[in-house]
Amino acid sequence: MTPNPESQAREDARRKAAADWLQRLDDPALPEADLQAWLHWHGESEQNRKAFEEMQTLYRQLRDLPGDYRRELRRRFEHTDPLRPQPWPKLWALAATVLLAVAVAGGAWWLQVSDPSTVAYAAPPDRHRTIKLADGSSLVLAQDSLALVRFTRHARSLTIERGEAYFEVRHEPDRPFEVQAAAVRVTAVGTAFNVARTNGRVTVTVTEGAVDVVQLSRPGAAENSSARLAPSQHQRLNMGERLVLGDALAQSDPTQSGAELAWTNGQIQFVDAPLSQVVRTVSPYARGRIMIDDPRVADLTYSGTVFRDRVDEWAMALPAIFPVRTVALSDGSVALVLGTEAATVK
Amino acid sequence: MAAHVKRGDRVAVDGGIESTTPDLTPAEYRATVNQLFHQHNRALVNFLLTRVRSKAEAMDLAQEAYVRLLQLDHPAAIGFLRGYLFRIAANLSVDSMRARIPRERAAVELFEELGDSDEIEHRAILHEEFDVVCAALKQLPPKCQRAFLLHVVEGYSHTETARAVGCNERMVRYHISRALAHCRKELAQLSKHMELPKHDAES
Repeated sequence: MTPNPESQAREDARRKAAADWLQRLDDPALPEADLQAWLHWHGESEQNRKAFEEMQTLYRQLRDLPGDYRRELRRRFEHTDPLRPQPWPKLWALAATVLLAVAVAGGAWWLQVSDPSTVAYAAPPDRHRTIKLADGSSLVLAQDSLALVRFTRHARSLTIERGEAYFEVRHEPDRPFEVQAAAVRVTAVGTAFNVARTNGRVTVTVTEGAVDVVQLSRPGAAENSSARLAPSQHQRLNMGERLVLGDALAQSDPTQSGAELAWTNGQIQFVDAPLSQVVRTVSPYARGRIMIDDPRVADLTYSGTVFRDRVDEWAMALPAIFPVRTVALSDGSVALVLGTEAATVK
Repeated sequence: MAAHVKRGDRVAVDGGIESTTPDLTPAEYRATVNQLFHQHNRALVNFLLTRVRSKAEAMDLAQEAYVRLLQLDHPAAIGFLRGYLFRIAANLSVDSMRARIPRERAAVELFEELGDSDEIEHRAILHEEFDVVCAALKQLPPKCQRAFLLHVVEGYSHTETARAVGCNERMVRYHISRALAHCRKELAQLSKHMELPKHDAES
């Protein structure tokens, strides 16, 4: 089959469209209109659908490239050293400072781990940061967080110095993946989990697989004198479970997780929450006030994600999801009213 | 039609479903949802695949979206069901919500059917294909190459890529699209000359 120039150009255009759509669709805040436009394009012809699926296959093949191909690609293009923290020069100075301060305060234990193989990662105050680790695991550092990573032949040791991180762990039976936050040590059993260190508490949330959590006893106030730390609490945590550990005893809360991980995108996430509560939570981020008077609207159950910088758009899109309409009031606020008819003034 | 829709506008669904159907019986509603699914399940899975790692996961989420649609308390706005279906699916695709996915038998069956008919291929890249991709990338401007490699291969976000490459996010998206389309084109040439799994879009 020798394609004529015309059909060649058509295929080129189709491929370009497929690639464009692939780029746009993964936007977590994809506008409704874009979705509708994509559905239209996708529904238009089998060639469009195939082009999209082929593009997606290629994209995923390259995204999930095996390690040796990945290395070969880096060799051929020298586009980057993926672990080099180029974009954050200022934060690096900060991380180094903190590391130094801890090294001084922490004494012997820190001198021991502060060898060149320890790498510190910091996320800036206003956004999270995704880091791919050498073993194929990844970690997402929440805003304003600091983590130390040390890989040896026998262990993968990470420390949350400050803040919160989410881990997706590549399973390696001979090299345990351990995360320490204050006096809590979490050992992954091939899994994804989140560790948050806030106000003297450590919260562990498991989203996939299982982890072992050990709370280390802390003699005196010397938080970092881990040479004398001994396992005092040991608990297996499974998918969907969360464990909150305070200074004293561990309180297990193996009920709900999910809503806790919302920080990973500067977003607020809700699971089966009453709309009234959702609106209360997101209102501070809206330009105008969002009001609900009708209890039937207030009690609608919402599951989903709201982006802090797009609360107004979110509110305007509610009529696409719920049998409600929005009424713009003269003071700039918006009222959510039951009913799907075109807006009429009461 | 879709081109004229602005954000926040409500859109009536095509495909034979009335946009104002007030009170359906539960059975009618179920049938309507079923129909919606048969029309859009491939699109739904394709859509979800842009957000999750695996086909299995995409299908799980599509099932769950279907279940939630069936459990809708206020199914009055039938006309918006399609938009709602995708919105539910998008929300479900947020990683941390994956843990709590119940199953409903009807949904499982519906998707077994889909799994048989429209298997979306995901296999590791072949040596030959890898070489073609590298050669194709070499033909592109350096910025384009770099943006593509940083985002797709190294997993930089669009923002991070923009910062690293030194351009804005819109340009990053443009570079990535261009590189993807070009690689795909070269691969299509390859599959014409070799016995590779069919990627043939021209037929």
